Amino acid sequence: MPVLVDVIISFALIFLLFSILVSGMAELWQLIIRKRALFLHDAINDVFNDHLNKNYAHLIYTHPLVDRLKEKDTTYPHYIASGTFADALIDIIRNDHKLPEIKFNHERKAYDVTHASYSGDVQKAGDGIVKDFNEGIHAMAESDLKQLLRTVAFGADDYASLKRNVVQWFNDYMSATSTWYKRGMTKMLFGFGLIVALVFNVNAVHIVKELYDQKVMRDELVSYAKEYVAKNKEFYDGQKMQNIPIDLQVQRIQEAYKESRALNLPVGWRLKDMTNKFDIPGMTTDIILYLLMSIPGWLIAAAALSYGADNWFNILSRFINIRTSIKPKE
Amino acid sequence: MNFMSRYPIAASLSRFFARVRFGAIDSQLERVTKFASIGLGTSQETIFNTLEEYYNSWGDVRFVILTMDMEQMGAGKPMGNYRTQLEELVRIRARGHYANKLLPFLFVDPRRPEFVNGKVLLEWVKPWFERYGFCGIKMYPALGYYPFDEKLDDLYDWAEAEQVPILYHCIQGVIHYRGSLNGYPKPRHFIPEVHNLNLKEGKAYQANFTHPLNYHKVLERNPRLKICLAHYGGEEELTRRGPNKGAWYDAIRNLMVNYKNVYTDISFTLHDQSTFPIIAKDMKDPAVQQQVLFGTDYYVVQKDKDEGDLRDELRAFLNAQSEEKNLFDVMASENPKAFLRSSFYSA
Repeated sequence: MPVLVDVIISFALIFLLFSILVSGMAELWQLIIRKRALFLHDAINDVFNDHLNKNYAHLIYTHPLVDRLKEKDTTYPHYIASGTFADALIDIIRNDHKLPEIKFNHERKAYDVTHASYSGDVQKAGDGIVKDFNEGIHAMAESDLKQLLRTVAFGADDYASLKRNVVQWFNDYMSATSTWYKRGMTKMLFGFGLIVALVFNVNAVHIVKELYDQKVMRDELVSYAKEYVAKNKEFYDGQKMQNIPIDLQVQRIQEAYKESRALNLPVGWRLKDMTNKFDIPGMTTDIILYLLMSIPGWLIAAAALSYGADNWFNILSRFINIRTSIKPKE
Repeated sequence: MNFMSRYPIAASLSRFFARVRFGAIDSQLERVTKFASIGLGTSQETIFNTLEEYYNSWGDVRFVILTMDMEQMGAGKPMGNYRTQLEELVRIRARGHYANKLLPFLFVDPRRPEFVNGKVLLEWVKPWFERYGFCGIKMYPALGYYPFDEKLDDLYDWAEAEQVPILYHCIQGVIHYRGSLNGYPKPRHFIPEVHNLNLKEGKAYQANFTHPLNYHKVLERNPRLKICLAHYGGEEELTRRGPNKGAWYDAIRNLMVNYKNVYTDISFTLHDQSTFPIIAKDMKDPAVQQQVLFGTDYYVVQKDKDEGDLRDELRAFLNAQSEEKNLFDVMASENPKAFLRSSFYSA
């Protein structure tokens, strides 16, 4: 039993260290391709790009309240506060059917522009805005979006209640879409996990075998794991991996890499590991067979690496506690 | 809406290459990256502001803006629908100094599902002129329709009465109908020397929709209709290098000689300097001098030549041709005023 526990602890430590690398790579890649911003845009576009009416998603993103959140003209914001979204959407819908009129004055040889007027009082956010909002919905062609907006406007009799309804809808929608986002993240983590598994030859099957066979290695890793948990408990308790700033991500990747190099881990590419394993003459054949036999181990490793450093830390802590509680054989 | 937002790596590379100098190939790369950064991700207003900078020192310059409705070309749905584009343009125009600077043309595609007949089409068009300041019609038959489509008859009658100008794309290019041609209806006015209905590829078939001889049929019905056949057939036609050996150029010129309300423009075509002598010859010919319009086709032409260079090179060439008249002013100022004059606009 203690051997099994030690193997699990050692395994968890190895995959924790490499998971830091995988998570860091995934986070950096997300930042480069602005995945969160694109995902947010796609989620809003799915609902508000109404081909039977207009592309309201485009109008939301070009509304000054949201437009100002862009880092650059050619990027989308990573995050839109629900209140900001609500203000922008209400303003767009209440304006929707009120295009300014532009007519040519032949006497002046110039255009006269007449801007839209709004019902009720403009100065205070009273029921005039709700009336304009409902008129904007009414002017739309029947569509799913029109029905959604109509539903959101139910029971709103002033600006505050209308905004509250929109905020509630937006928050609920963002909760639902975050689940989809996490699912997409898992696929990305698997992809990066596979890259790390291949680059560093992290073969889960081989690692388990070595950990069972090599007591010295196992003991060293268990000892290190205890120190690691003690040193990093506070960090993992207080932080979600997604919110780590870039510089800290890079620092953690560097530390994980240094630690993995310092420990004698059963990973890496060594010619002697790849040859003379099978009773077949010829090094090339040996290597090819080695690679083919490693595929299941790499795939398992990729899946394990996508599990996340914080999850591996939790497993590590738990099994260290279990190990501590196992009474030594008398 | 924002291609650059979807591909931030492409955006970064584009910005990088726009700054790096590569010697002999630098100008080509710079133009291509400028084209990408202008067109592939910014708003209509930002694109216009980039164009306006080229004319800051030119005084009262006005820009004809050609809207595009690409929803029926068989290439899938664009990100934002046509109505979004039109209303955004109206709102932009209502701000600051844009109302008098931007002269938008309304794209009309008779195949829009809501245009069940010509009357409905016309009722959709009118408010854009009467209330929202549009001053011309844009058509792009290459996207898959004939300029003599019967659904356009009511529109043509109204445009003729109000003298609303209509500008037609009249060059063979890369933007054309991409859908299936199986069962495509035979044109109402079949012109054997123009219409080859056996062509199966959209790229070749576009000639059926776009050919200048189609406009004889249009003008037979509406002889006072004010039209512009844009691009003058293209640079290959002007220099007789292409497969048609100048037949399109001849056809357009012939129409202009016979109908004083038929115009052409040199947008995009002017990027090829070998067309300058032919353009200059027409600008000195009283038969067609007052019917050739200046245009550049910004920002499409940006990948071939910079807006400022296009304008300055042609202006220098034309002004060297005549001592009595400033030919460039005729092309860029006098002729457009006549072309644009209607019940809804005059300059």
